[in-house]
Formats: sequence, C-alpha cells, structure tokens
Amino acid sequence: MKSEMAKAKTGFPFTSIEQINNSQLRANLKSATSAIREKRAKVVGEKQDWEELRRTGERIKDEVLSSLDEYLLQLEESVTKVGGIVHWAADSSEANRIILSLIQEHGESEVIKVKSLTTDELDLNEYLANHGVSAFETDLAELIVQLAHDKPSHILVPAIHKSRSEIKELFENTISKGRVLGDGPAELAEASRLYLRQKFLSSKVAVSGVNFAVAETGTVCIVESEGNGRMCLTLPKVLISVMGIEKVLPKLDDLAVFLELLPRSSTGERMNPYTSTWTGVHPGDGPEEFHLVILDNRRSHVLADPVGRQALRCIRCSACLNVCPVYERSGGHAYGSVYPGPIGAILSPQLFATEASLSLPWASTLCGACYEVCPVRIDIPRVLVHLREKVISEGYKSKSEEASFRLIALVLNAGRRFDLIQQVATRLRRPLNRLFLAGSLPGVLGKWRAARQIPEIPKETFRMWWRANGSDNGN
Amino acid sequence: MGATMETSGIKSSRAAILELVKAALREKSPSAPSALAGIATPGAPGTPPSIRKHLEQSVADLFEEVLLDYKATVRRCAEHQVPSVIAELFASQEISSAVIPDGLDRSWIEQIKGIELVVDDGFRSTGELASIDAVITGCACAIAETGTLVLSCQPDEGRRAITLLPDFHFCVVRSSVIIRGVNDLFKHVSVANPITLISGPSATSDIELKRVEGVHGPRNLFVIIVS
Repeated sequence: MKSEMAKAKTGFPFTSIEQINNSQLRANLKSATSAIREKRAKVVGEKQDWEELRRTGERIKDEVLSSLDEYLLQLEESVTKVGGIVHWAADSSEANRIILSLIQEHGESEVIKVKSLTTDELDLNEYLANHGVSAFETDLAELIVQLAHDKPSHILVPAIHKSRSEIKELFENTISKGRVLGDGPAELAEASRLYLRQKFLSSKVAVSGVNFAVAETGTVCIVESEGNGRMCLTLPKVLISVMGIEKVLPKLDDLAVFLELLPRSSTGERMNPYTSTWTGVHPGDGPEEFHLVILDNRRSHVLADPVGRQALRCIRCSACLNVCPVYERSGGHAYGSVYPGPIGAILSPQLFATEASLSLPWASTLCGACYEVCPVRIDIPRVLVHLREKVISEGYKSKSEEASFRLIALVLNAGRRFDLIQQVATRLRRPLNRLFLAGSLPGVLGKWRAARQIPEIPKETFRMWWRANGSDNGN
Repeated sequence: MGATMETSGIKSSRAAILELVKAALREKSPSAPSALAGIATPGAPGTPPSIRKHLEQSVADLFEEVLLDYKATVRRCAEHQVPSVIAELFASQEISSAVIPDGLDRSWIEQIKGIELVVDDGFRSTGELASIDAVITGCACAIAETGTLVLSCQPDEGRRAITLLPDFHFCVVRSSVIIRGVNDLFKHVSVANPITLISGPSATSDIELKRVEGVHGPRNLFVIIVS
C-alpha cells in the first residue's frame, strides 16, 4: 500500500505518545538504563583489548554471513552426527507447526520455556495455546510479562517497565494467590522459585532459543542468569531449540570471543552466572531427544540488502537500547515490535515490513551512541539513513515533508539566502515568537510544531555578532 | 545429509532457505565506513580508565577477587586442609544432606559430621536430588578474569543435575587449573560433554534491575581454592 505515512494512525509517532506521557514509566526507564550503562562502562573499561574484541566479533559475524549457506549445512551435519535432529522452517507458521507436532508426538500439553526473542517473534505461546498446549515462561521477567498478559519492553529485561509494587500485586493475584508478599526483589524472586520448581521437575518438554551454534562441532550455547535455563536444558526428556539462521558460528574459538563480548555488553557483568553448552545428546545427562529448528522468517531477505544485512550480526545484548536517548524516553512498547530500540529500528522494518515498522527508521536522533557500544560494530545510524531512503523511494512519501525539504535546501544551499532569512526573522522575531511559542499554527505546520520544543528566535544571530565583534579579536 | 527423517514438505523448506541465502549473497557489501567511526573513544564520558591491576595479579588472587564480587564465599588452603575447611563450612550452614559425584576424592568429606551423604549413581530421580541440600564437586578448569567455574561432567564434577538442584554448591578448585581469560577456554575443555560455566550464585536483576542472588540454581556458592 502506498500511502502517506503521516495519514496512517500507526507507527512510532503515534505509539510513542502514550508512553512518553507516562511519567512513572519514564522514571523507571531512566533509573534502569542509567544503572546498566554505568555497569557496562565499568566492565568494558576493564578489557584493554575491547576494541580489538569488537572488531573480531564483527569479522566473525561477517564471515558467517558471507558463506551462510555453507555454515548452515555444516551445522546440520555436525548436529546430526552427535544425535540431534535438525528441522528447517521457512517462516513463523512452519516453525510453530514443527514445534507443536513435536510436542504432540510426545503426548504433552505443557512445555516450559527459556526466555527467547525468536519464539516471541513467532508468537509461539499464543499459537500453542490455540492448539491446547500451555507454554510456561520460566525467566522471571518473562513470567511477569506472561502473567500480566503484557508484552516485553526490553530485550534483556522484558519487565523493565514494571515497578516492584506492580509485580507484588501481580504475584499476589496469580502465582502466590492467598499469600501476602513484601515488595523486596528477593522475596518476589523467591515466590517465582517456589512456583516454578514443580514445573521444572515435572515437565517433559522444554523449548528454548539459541545464543550461538557452532558449525564445526554442532555445539549449542545458551547464556543466562537465573538457572531457569539450566533447568530447562537439563531436566526434561525432550529439548526443542529454535535459532535464526544468523546464529551460527564457524568454530569453538569464535564462541569464546562472544562469551567475552555478550555479558559485558548485556548485563554489564564480567560473565553471566550460567552459560550452558551441549553437543547433541549426552546419554545419562540431560534430554534424550534434541531438536534444532533453523528459522529463516525473512532473514534471507535482510541478507539480500548489502547495507542492511549487518543487522544480522546482532547478538541481542541490548546495549544499544540502554544508551539510546529515544528508547530511554519512549520505552520498548512504542516500537510495536519484539525487537525495540535502535537495533529494532533497523531489524523490524527489514524483517516484518509492516506499515507500522516502516516508521521506525525515523525513531532516532542519529546520535550514534548505539554504534559506539555495539559489540559487533553494527553501524546503526548508517543503516537507519539507508532504510529511510529505501522507505521513501518505495513510495512512502509525504508531500508536505518533501516540499519543506526543498525549501530548506533552497535556503541552506546559499550563504546569502540564509543570511537574508535570518535578518528577516530577527526583525520579525516578536510576532514570530508569539506565533511559534504560544499560538497554534494551521495544518501540517501545527502538527509539526506540536511534537517539538522550538527555541526562541534571538535578537542577534551568530553571523550578526561576528560582523560586529569577530574581526576586533584579531581573527 | 541431516534431515533424512523429515517429511518432503520440510525438506523443501531446507532447499528453499538455502537457495534464498545463496541468492541474497550475490550482492557484496559496500566497503566498510571510515575506520574511525563507531570507536568507543578512550576517556569518553562514562568510560573509566582501563584497569591494569588485573594483569599484574596472580590468577588465583584475581579469581578470588572476582568471585567475592559475585557474593560467593571463598576459602584458600593447602591440599591437606581441604577436609577441615569443607567440614567447617558445612558446620556454618544449615545443611542436613549432601550429594557427591562418584569420582570425588573421598578424603575431602571425611571430616563432615552429622550429615546424610549420598553418592550419585547417575540414576537418582530429579525429585530426589531436589530434596538434597548440598553438593560437593571438584573442578577441572576455572577462569580468573571472570570468576568462572567450568564444569564439564568429569568424574569429580558429576552430571549437570547434581550441581543444579541442591541449594548449596561447594566446589574445590586447584589453583593449577585456573586459566586467566575466556579466550582460550576451549583449548582446555572438550565440548564432547555438556559444559556449564558458573560465575557466582544464580542471580536475577529482573525487578527494577536490583540484583538478587539466588533464583533457581544454587543460591549459595562456596569455592575452596587449593594452592
């Protein structure tokens, strides 16, 4: 559909308004993101070779992407050799069907889950529920989001938008019914431990995502903190892991590089509490059956864009969310996607290409902080600009925006014209300031004005000051 | 070929995905942007100066320091003191039962008193393991810089479930097995067995980013470093 973006009441400009006006949310986000920024900066500062590590991470991911078909075939062969079963899913509905039929083959109607963005992308829980299978999230934040029938708002801390008192109330009405809880994080974590322990011990099937999968050995890796991952990977009889095609790594030594990059960038820890690897099926230890579902779901489409494909380097650390001035104010829900923040702004439009997601390349100030912290050096600002160009050239044009940019170009292209406009504006500053700051403007100009704070037009511009004072100072 | 068990429908997705990937790669990426872009500048706001200290410390000292940061309990001792150190740590906690892997050095547990000790034969149910308070293991590799215990199911480490379900984990680490950094981890351990990297007690920061030690895995971690 080729329509003016501004006319469709969807997309970031509309979804962010409610979030920005929620002062509790903004306070939660501000304290959370600044705390995690500090932690990250400290542990990254400890690594003398951080820049070299980032470049190595970037190089490994680019190598994988440049021969992705070969690495996927090698992974399939390795996983199969060690007793795993590989499935290929072209899109979300195929992945969901494969997972459901595996669960049904074992006669189960319940599964436990390790936090996984990929299964969020599939809407797997909803699909399973519609087919009579209950999926229980076991990560504390995912559990909170699931119990509240809410959506995650951060890659790493999905319930970052919830305060402890909200969580206490939620638990008292759900998993701790009939009990009165304190609102200390420790007590709330204990409540989830009690509730989930039985699930861990009784469930026969677990579903997980994949952080890394090593082509040379067929080794799969999951990185986590709470131990819910270890429970799901160790105790059930059947393990089903879903990975996007871009999650493959060539060698084991490459995995070591990412085990340095990920925790420091993500939680701001030297290492996360638990990292598990398994290489197929290990008799006498862990699941008797291991299924690896390899998912495309338009990742190959992202790969086809020579500039946009670097988004597939992403290891889902969320460092870019935590430094983003836009994310810090809007929160994750405003992005309307399982992938929020700067990385979401380049990944979601390429992966999903929905009308709403095509507004995301504009949800940025292009300040570049996301690029500075990215452990695999994804040049997010560059991809944002590239996607803006692409969206516009595909017909999502706004006539008024086009006209105003033509006007701006006309003024900025010649110093004399710029000077003239400034002189006129300073002379007319009183009525103009009144109009811009207090008055309501008509039409498009009014809408534009409503979303911005505009500085007053000053009595004197820099050029005027320079003419009067600059040469006196011997310059 | 891998997917021999699959139906023809799934096989065709395999071919389709591989074909799409191959087609997508026909166009090469443009040359990289300027080398200066995106570098985290040393001394930029929020970037503290690099800490050199770590490089000068012995691996055992560094390992201990990082473990303490994770709120683990650490004891340093000589080989012959291990039994008494373990017994003393046990006495300081409310522990009434413990499980050990079959290959554990039995002299280490000789001095523990008043506790039901079971040896894991590999067949105990998870429910049974969950009712046991503590586990004692060895450790074939540890990483100093990240305070990490690397368990790879060696005879004195046991299968994964025994270090997961009990609430107290006591781990004896010989200082000779401590490596400095993560980078050469896979030169020291084989992935033929499942590997669990443990860095401090189980933890979550999911509620208002306040760190809570102890969710599902062992909430109490004791590390005995043997010199």
